[in-house]
Amino acid sequence: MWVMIGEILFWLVVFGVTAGMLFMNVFTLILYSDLEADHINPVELCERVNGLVLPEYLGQLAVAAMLLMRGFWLAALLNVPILYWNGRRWLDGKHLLDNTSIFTYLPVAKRHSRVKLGFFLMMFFFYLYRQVECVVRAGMRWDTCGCAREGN
Amino acid sequence: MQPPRPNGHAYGEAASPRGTDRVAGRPPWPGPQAQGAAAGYAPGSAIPSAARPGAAYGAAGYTAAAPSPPPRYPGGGAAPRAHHGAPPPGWASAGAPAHAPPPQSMMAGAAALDTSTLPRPELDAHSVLHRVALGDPVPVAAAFGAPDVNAYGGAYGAAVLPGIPPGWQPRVNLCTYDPSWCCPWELLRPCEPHFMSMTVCAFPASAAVRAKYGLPLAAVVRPLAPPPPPSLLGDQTDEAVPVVNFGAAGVIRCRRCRTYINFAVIITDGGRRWRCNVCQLLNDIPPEYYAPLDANGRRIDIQQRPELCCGSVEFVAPSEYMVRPPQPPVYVFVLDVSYAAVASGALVTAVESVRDCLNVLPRDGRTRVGVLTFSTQVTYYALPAGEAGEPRIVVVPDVDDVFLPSPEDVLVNLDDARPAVDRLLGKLLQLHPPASSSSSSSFAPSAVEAATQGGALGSAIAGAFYLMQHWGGKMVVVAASRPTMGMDKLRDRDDVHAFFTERECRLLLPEDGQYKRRAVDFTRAQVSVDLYLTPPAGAYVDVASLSSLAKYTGGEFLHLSGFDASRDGPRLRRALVRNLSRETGFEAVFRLRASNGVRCARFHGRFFTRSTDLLALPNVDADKTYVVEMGYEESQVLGKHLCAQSALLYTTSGGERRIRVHTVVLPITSSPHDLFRSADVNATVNVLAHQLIEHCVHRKPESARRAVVDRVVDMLVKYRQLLGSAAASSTQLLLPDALRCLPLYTLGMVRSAVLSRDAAMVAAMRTDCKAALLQALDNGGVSTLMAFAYPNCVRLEDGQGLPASMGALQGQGLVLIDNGFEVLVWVARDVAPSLLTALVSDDVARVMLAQPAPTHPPPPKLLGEVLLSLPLEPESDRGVRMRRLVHAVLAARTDAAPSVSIVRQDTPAEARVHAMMVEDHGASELGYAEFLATVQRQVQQRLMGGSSTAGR
Repeated sequence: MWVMIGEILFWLVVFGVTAGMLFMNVFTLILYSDLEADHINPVELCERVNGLVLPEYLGQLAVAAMLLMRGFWLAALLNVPILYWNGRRWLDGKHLLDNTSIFTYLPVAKRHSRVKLGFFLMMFFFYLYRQVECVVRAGMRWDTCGCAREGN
Repeated sequence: MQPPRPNGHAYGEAASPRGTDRVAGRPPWPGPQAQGAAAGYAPGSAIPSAARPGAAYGAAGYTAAAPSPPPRYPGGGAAPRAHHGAPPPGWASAGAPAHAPPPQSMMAGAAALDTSTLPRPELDAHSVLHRVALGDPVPVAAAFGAPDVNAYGGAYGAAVLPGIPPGWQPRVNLCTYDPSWCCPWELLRPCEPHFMSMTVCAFPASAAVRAKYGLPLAAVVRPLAPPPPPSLLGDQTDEAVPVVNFGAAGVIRCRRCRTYINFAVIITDGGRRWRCNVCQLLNDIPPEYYAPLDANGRRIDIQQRPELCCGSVEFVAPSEYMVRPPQPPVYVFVLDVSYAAVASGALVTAVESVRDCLNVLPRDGRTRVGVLTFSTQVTYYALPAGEAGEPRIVVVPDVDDVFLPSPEDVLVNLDDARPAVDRLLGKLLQLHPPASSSSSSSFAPSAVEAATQGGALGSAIAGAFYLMQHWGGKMVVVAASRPTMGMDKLRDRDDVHAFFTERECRLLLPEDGQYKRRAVDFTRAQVSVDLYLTPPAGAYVDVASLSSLAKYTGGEFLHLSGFDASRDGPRLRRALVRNLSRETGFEAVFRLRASNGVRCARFHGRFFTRSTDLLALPNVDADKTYVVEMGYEESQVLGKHLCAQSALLYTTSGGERRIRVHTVVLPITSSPHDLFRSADVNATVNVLAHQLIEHCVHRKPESARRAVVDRVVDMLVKYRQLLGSAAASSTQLLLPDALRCLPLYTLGMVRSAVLSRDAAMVAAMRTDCKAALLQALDNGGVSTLMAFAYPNCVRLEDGQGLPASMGALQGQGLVLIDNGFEVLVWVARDVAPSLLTALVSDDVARVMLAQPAPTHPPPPKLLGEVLLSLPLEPESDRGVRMRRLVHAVLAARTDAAPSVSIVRQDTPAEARVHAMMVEDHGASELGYAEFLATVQRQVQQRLMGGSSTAGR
């Protein structure tokens, strides 16, 4: 029983973290379009976007680590490309936006953000599915248990 | 039927029958008048559409017989390309290549080796001096006066426009005119190209048309450009930019797109409204600005309205254009008093230059001045006002946490505290006498310590910023070492082995964001940093990191490596005096507006980009050039004309807010031919050089070289495709007339010290020098970067130009060689002693002519400074005329502050000259003829590869 609840909680956490990253990405994209419309200045934009980089990378790492520890190989594998990409950016020192060259880099940054958005969206539904599946399975077992008890 | 032949110049005889008959009976290189005739498309004469102007250069034959085979290619067979990592395809197989030129052109190769027929900029005396001052003369008239009126919205020719004199010739920035504009033809004064010019004088109507052109689409703007030196261009009267004050009406601008009113707007409704030529919105004219229209539909006061007649105007901005009251001119001098700076004499030079310049700083009672010195600690100087003001020293020993002791006395009104400032500058020299510190360092252990420790440059800059952050203004920093203590330390990341590897480009970028961040903070406080670095020989100062301070705050940057006051002092002094004495604008913003559908894609220059089309410039002056690359927002640009308007809003040193507006109107065309015909090679080279900087800091040199060459190959392929079947079979190199020298300029850029191993070796380039050269390039104006792409060689005697080739220089006596960032006077082996004596003084000439040569000849730069210090009167003197020419060249290079040296033939210093001769063979570099041949081969390969892909 507790195993089931643990699993549901696990997926809930994974799902929540992914939703958070998804939200951060949407927020970043909104900021980019604000910058293009001149509603925000590049210095502020870079401060805000750069503030989101570390949480996102950590969240990504945490999700992957959790999946790996629970032995969900497929889900962990899906996370590998973006982890690799994040790692490369970090090692190259390119993970932060530079407010002096942001306008040159903006099209690229937007594209990156969109690709990541797509990825997170996919993972979001994937985790959602796993969570619902988990809940349904737990419910079924609960039902069978309950039925059995009632039957007794 | 004879295929229509490219109507242009054909170089290289017998490569094809078409080539021969063009060349016959004509001088190999047509002079300016011959060129116009040869091009032969004056307005009115119809040209069949296929027979577009082009120049056919029979380069295919050059490879077969290399001129006097250089030692590196024994036997003329397969050429070993040892460490030249970017062999152009097919080059190595010169003997038996896959794309061998046909036999008859190989035969012709021998004849074509006469390299004097290759395309070059005009080299007569007038053209060369024009080139020095303003870049190549661009004959838009010949290149663009197209007879097919439809391409320009029917705006051409006397028949179409009754108001235009019949002999009207379009020129740069005035390729089109429309009678509906508010300005009558006779009064129109277009924007001068040295203020603003576009890379093409016609604008492609859509991204698809633009893609068939292949070269950048950009505006090169030098908003406050000085008038070109009159000594170079004769008595060309350059009219000042008119200043317009709208008074109560306020600055007249479009309501929607904020475009300033200009000569190309349409005034309607009896003078009550005007139609914006950028967004087509109909705007009301305020009653204060109203004037009725005359019978021709012109405003009756049009003669008194320069803003409606001139391409360049300056508006007086009312208080709506101020966020705060106009700032006073603020100057803070940050001087290095460390051992290295004192010993090399940099401090003395700096202090004396500043002292001389105090008189030329704006003197209207508002100017504020502060002085800071630093070594291992930061020192402020309190400067009390009044006659008896005695400067007080305030030391901040803790360089990790700089604070401002007493703000009110440190940044003082220059007029009030002038005696104290003068005393302080005298005292600085007493406190740090160059003699004592250089004589015996054992008596000054602290000085030795400082020499090894470097200084607290970062802390000093931070301290100076605290001083001026509420004012804004100019921070002039003279420093001899890298910040090694205190705030914003930089480590020694120099790596000699990184030279020409992938690691090098990392070294050319700022190490860490710290100085960038600081620069952005400074920009927001309207503080600009002018950085003069005077490191001792061999010291690494991390130019790449420090220069971001100047780059993002719109400041000046000069790196004098191995500084020695006797040799480099005058140059530093020239640069400082120029910086402090030229007109400086404060708290400026720059914006470029263009018609609907066009947007600004990228910017180059020294600024901070504040929004998609707005550049923030804490300081702006006459020596700053900005490049705006344009792109398409929509797939198509509608209308007949494109209007590009640059606006610079700034505070003059007199405390007035001004808007400098340059407006350029281009015809919109859907024919790529027009783009090739109307290209402005000066602006194009400028943009390509700016793109080269980005290549250099993001790729390794070999791939940067490839990218630069690919660009021109790409353009030539597109041109060939455009010419269609007529040219497809030609083995000649077909060059558009307006861009006939572009391959030469590309070769020059590839062979410059930033990309060529040869040239860099000769110039003893280190990472610092390279980073500094890139910074200088970033700020280069049109003529400077033209000289960078192809050095100007001028015979001093008569101003005659020479090709950049050692062969051409032989026996020419005294030749001035100017590559934009360095000016050399080359003295031939067999120079007439009287000529040399006339140029330099008697004793110097004796030293130079001494036989045998002295074991320690005076350094070339020292001789150059001696030359500059000689008198410039009377004019009748032959030597004076030559010296005036040197000074005039220097006056055209205020944006680069070049060094001047005298180099004698057959001395080791001459290697620098050899490296500049871009037409000659280098140890690992192609000569001009060979380069053209490889370009031609790459074009052929692309065309063959392209035809198969095009069939898909």
